[in-house]
Amino acid sequence: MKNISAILIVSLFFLGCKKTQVAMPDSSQWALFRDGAAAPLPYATRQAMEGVYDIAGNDNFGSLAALKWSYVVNGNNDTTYHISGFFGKDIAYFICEGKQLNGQILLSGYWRKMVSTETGIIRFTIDPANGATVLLNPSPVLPTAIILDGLFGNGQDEPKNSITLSHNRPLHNGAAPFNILAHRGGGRNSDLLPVSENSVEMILKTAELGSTGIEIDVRFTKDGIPILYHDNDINLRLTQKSGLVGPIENYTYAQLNAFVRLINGERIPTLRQALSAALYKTPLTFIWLDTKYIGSLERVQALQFEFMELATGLGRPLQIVIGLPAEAQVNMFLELPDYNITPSLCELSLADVERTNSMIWAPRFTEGTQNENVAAIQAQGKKAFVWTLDVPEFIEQFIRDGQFDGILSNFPSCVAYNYYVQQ
Amino acid sequence: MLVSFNISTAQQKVKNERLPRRKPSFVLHAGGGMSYYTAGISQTSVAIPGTLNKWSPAATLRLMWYPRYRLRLGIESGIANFYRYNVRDPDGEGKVTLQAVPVLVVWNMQVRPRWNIYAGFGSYFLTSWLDYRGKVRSTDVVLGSNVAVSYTQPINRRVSAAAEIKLMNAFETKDAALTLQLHFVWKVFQWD
Repeated sequence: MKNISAILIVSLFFLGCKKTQVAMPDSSQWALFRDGAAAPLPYATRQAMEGVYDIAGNDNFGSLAALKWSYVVNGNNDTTYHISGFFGKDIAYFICEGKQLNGQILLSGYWRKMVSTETGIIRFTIDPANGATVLLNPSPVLPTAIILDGLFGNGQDEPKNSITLSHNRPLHNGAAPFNILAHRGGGRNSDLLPVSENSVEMILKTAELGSTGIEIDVRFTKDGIPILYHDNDINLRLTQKSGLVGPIENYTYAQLNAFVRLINGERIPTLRQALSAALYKTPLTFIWLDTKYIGSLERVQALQFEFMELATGLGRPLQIVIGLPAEAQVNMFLELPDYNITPSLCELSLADVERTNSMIWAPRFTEGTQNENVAAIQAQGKKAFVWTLDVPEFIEQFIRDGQFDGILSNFPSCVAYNYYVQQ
Repeated sequence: MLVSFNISTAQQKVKNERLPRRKPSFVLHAGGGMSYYTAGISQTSVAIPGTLNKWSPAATLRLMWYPRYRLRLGIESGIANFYRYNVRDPDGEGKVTLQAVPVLVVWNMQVRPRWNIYAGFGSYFLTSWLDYRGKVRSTDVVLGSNVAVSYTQPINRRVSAAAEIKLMNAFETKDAALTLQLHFVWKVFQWD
């Protein structure tokens, strides 16, 4: 009996430690959506579809959904548009592609809950009488009744559960743009996303999750190449087994590129690759370069200026700031030429914000909403962000009671829902 | 729990065999053999297929304090390569070896005449030896343990030979290797 108990305890221990993997469903099997006559949705249609929708027919996702489009540019400059639906229950969302066929609008994709491993296929149809005719007009006249008739399933099962979304109102749009910032490029791996944190693949995906900007972690290789990597050492939390151990700064970029793969198989990106992906392939408008090392910031500053100029040349709104998380980084920043005109974000005191002439103050969320300090910063023409908010109740509270211009989170879809459904 | 149950059973059996009263001593174990990497790494994602080598020579050095009672205490070190492999890309070919040097506190008990079990806990000094567009030696210290079983054959009053099977487990990095070794066991000092 003792032996059986011991075996059970040991088994439970190992099973309890096993990381759960989420297998994303294959949503490409809907014959109607794959019909050769199905055509992309025009820009005006996509824009008119965005909004806050009432949910009926199912309580799996809550009572409201915020629908918003994003895009990603693929390798051959082919752009894919996704409509994301952010729900208020269990940090759930769906991501679909859209097409039109015979006067109908079709949406096909998957849904996912971030508090569990639940996921499945989801499909929507907008019939001509339910708003498709108006939406497909070259100049859609709104408001109009838009009803999305949907079906969703679990895992790879054929979707059979009905869900109906009815357009209620436009997305909330505040007086100033609100920044939904994704931590470590999109979210930690603990969120069981299919791509690794601080990877180009994560940056390409994050707008689907509701992000308007990203925070990424910058370190240097032995040969002085700025790369994206969070921890001090090469470890199993971030990388696959490679035989390489110790500080990442011990290796050149060529060595890391040849031997190390991130936890989901991607290569460690250079900062240049990351900025290039964000600028040319996503709609992201804000990049926070969190400095995870002690050393000169000149190379980071040079890349920052280079990519802001490229964005300006493209007429593309993109703000890139150097993060200053501690006194050591502040001192390095103050040694930079032109530091006072270098866009930066300071996580320290208001006095440090003034000393570094940072354009953004970013206190930790545990300090509370600090509305008076936030108002004082905003009165100087600066902005205030708060980090890192992951608990849905806190996200809701900070959006409801706070005055911040942006929130950094591992769950940007939860921030997006709470921001966009505001009345 | 399973280990403690087996140990208590074994203790009773050993007691019944009326072993002679022991004299405190220091005993040195030194030996070598082969190790095989047993943790999950069927093929690293970047390795040239077929170049992953999990076999390696292994060595152990252990100093034990044998008191009058049955539970002995000591320190153990050694060396083994967990694995090594090659990569090739347009810029050239390279190789990496992951080497482990344990530094562990070890407990030992004789469970039957000539049969001993060992359990250790401490650190593994892991070293990467990389040769690709420059050489790098990089080290990390991680938590780990080991368990071993040995059979000892006395040669004379102070010297024995032992065969030992041991699992090295650097659990913090999920690296593990099974080793089979022959040991020279020398009673270096004994109180009369």
